[in-house]
Amino acid sequence: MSKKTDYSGYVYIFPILILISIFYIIPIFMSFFYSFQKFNVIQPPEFLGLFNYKRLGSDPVFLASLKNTLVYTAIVVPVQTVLSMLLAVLITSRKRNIWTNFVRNSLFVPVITSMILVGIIWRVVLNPNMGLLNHALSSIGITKINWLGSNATAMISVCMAAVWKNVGYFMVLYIAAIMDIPKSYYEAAMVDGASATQKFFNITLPMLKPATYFVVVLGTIWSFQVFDLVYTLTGGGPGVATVTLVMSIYNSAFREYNMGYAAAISYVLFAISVIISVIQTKCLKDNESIY
Amino acid sequence: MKKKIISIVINCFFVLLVAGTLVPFIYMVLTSFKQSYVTIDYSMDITKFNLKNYITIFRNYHFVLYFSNSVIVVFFACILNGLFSSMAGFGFAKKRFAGRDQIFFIFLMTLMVPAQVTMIPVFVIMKKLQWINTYQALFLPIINAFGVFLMRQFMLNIPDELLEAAKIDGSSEFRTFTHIVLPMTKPALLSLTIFTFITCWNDFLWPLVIITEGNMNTLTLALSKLHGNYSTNYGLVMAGATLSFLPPFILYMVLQKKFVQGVTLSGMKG
Amino acid sequence: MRKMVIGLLICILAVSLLAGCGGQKGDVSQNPQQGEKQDSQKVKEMQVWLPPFGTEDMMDQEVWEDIFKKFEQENNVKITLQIVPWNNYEDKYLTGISAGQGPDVGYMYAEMFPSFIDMGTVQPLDEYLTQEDRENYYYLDKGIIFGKQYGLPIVVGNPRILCYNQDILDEIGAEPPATWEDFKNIAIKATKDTDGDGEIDRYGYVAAWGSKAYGAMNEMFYPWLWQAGGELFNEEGTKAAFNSEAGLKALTFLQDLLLTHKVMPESVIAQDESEILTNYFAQGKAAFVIVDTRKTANIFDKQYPDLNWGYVTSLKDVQKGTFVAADQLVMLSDAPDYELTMSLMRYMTSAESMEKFHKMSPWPPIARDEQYNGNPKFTTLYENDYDALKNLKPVKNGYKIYDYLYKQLQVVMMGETTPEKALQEAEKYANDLLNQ
Repeated sequence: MSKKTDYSGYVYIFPILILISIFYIIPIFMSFFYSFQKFNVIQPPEFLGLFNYKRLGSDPVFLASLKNTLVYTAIVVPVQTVLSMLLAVLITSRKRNIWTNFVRNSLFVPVITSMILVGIIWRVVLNPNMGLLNHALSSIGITKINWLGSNATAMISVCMAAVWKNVGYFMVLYIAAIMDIPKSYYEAAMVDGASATQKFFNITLPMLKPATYFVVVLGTIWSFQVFDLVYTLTGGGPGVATVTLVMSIYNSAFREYNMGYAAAISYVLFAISVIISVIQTKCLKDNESIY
Repeated sequence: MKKKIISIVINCFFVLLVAGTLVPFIYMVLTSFKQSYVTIDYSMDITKFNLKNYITIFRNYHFVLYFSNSVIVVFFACILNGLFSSMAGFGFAKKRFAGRDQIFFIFLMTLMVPAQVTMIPVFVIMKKLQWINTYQALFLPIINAFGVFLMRQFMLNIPDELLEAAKIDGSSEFRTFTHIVLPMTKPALLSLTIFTFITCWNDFLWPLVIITEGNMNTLTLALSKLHGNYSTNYGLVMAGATLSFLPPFILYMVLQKKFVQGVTLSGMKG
Repeated sequence: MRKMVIGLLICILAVSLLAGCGGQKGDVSQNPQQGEKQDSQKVKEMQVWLPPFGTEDMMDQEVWEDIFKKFEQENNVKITLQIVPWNNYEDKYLTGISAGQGPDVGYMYAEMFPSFIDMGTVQPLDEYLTQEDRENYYYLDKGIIFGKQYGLPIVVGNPRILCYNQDILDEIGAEPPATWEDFKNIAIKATKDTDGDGEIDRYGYVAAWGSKAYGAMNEMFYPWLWQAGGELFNEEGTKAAFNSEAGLKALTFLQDLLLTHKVMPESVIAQDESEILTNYFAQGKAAFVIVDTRKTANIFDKQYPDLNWGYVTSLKDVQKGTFVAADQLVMLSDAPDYELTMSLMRYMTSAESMEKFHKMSPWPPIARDEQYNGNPKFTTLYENDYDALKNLKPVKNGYKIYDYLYKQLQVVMMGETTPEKALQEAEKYANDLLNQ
């Protein structure tokens, strides 16, 4: 190919450049400006300086939502990562037949459903009287748990529903990654007389590092943005037990008509996701580039 | 012997997992066929099953309309995202122009920004464009840099010689793109389409913000309203849930392999 | 084959771009000015937004469209009705109005007014009301907010009443309660294990503490607060008043019912109103529930005809008191023709329209020209207990204040904080917002 600029390139990227500019790049800056303003969409904005950011520190609902989002992420990400890896290892260790295919396909079904649907279904699952979960638990002799009725269990319930929805996706990802590990590694290990556990820790786990990086980063991004599930399952309650950052953004913007304050919260969310993904990249990636 | 025990344990574990995953869906579908005025109702009397809930939901709750809204939005989202992303992917992969790498880097960075940061400004922009309560307000923001990234990765593998050979043969720029490049990236294009479909069909927060008119509801939005509205008939809610569940589910049944491929492709990033 | 696919793609793209341009102003049907009627008689468009009150078999849309027919013919207008669901109710008003796609006539409840008045989006009605109107409507005073007539009351009614299960009361030989003490005693006696399996399966009282919206306090907290002699805010609406002796008494009483006397199932904190009604009271598994009168008709009478229920409007502690809705029609400032909009509002609240509306939602008349056609069970309620019926005052930042108060109350009901601390916390939060 010639070295000089090929102007047809601009033509190819033009449509999406326009769309991404209008719906992503410009809004990022607009949001930043809103966060210093009092703005309700109807009246012209009013400059407030750092007022919105200062108010964040004394808003108990915002602080709770920040804490909840971090707790949720800290529970969901490790659990779904470990569980999906475990499932992938178990499934690939079996012979591929109708049964294992069925298991794999079944676990993928929640992935394709909407979070709204998951919320509706899980309200039935978690019903304190005779919900599916309490029904199952009582049949093995565990007393009923008031899942959505206390601070701690409400958060755990939301986390369970989220893991239930996501695990299939990450499992499929891990299965693909495991398939890519050259068989010769295991054969060599077999010759050396390595046990299954040794094989897992010395071959599988290191080879899955890139996949794990992806699973953790994507899982974290999803976790920070949790809204639909909480919206249908708990509405943020009881008390402030399951209010999340995105829910705070939504409520501030579209219930209190305070777009500026909502924008300030969204920038906090942005900042935290950047910080966390930088940390994760440092910890999980050696010197590979992002793309 | 030990192997056999392990095998049985693993299979039992699988059975539990499959049950835990599928039973709620089965319960949903079964309940949708009966009028149930208590939250939990395990009495599954087949003789009492009927289609009343579906009739009510179509007749009184306008689900046909919501269904077609969803279909229209998803259709345009898939087509436009596929077309624009592969164009841009090709541009980034095979063309040399000033600022190419910088623009691509900025595109990638937009993927890092949570959608909620841009939600309020995009709402304001849509208002300025007078696009609130329109289809394009629903499908245009679905298009993002992920598709570009995916298509570019794929197009990097197309040998330059092939494109040059086409040029020498007198194939026009446009013809080369549509006849040589696009067919070669079919798997990626299909994966992208499946992804767009699922994302768009299940999208909730954005339609919730941008749609104020009942007639413009998407199916997912209508489902959340059905759930939130005061209705004591749980069968009705479950019928709505089943309806919103079926299209992605049927697509999944038909294109299982492609779904798995799609997930794998999206994981290439790692 | 490939050519066809590409051709199709291009067609689709072209169509979608066209749709993009053409769709800007919505449906053609919504924009008949562009249509053929442009130069003959101009049919005016009007938008009305109302909340849903109907049931599965009697839908709001049909009832109101039937009412509108006459007005449409007489005034040569076309009315588009939107039923806005209760959840996301306020959000829809904001997004709709800010997008310039709001209604001409809307329906608001007290807490909604301050923000919308602040934004200048609702129009005062003072100059459009005739002397005749002023004499005819009963409750115009409830539509006066910050000194101006912003609302035209359309639903004044739907009070929250204390329903009891007559069979349970008969079984324990009790009369319907009049005081908190009566109530507590009956509730304690009613709570028991009826089938002998060692688990309590019938309760004294149920309340939907798992409801997602603070509106649930209408049934669960305000009646108790008012009965104890408390108030939510001071007279001017500038200071929170719920952290008082009365507030503390009411909240402590409720917490004790749940945690000490255990007359409520622990799981009420996870259940919303429909779950409470269908799983407990309607099944005969609870002696008491506080519920609005509309649901007694739509749920108890229609779906559970065997349920033997009765009611008292309000218990009495220091005084009687319970919540009643005072919801209003409003005229939005964006409406193009205020006179016409006012006459539509007048038409909607006329005896003729209200009689049709009250067939679906049996509430008492709002004006002198209509007869009471509601449930005969409630005829005397409005006559005897009128003074006990209270509604909420509009205050600044109402959404946040009520929402936070509700969250604090939920924490109390979970037993994770004391009533004192919760009320203090909510009071501080409320006063901060009221002073802003």
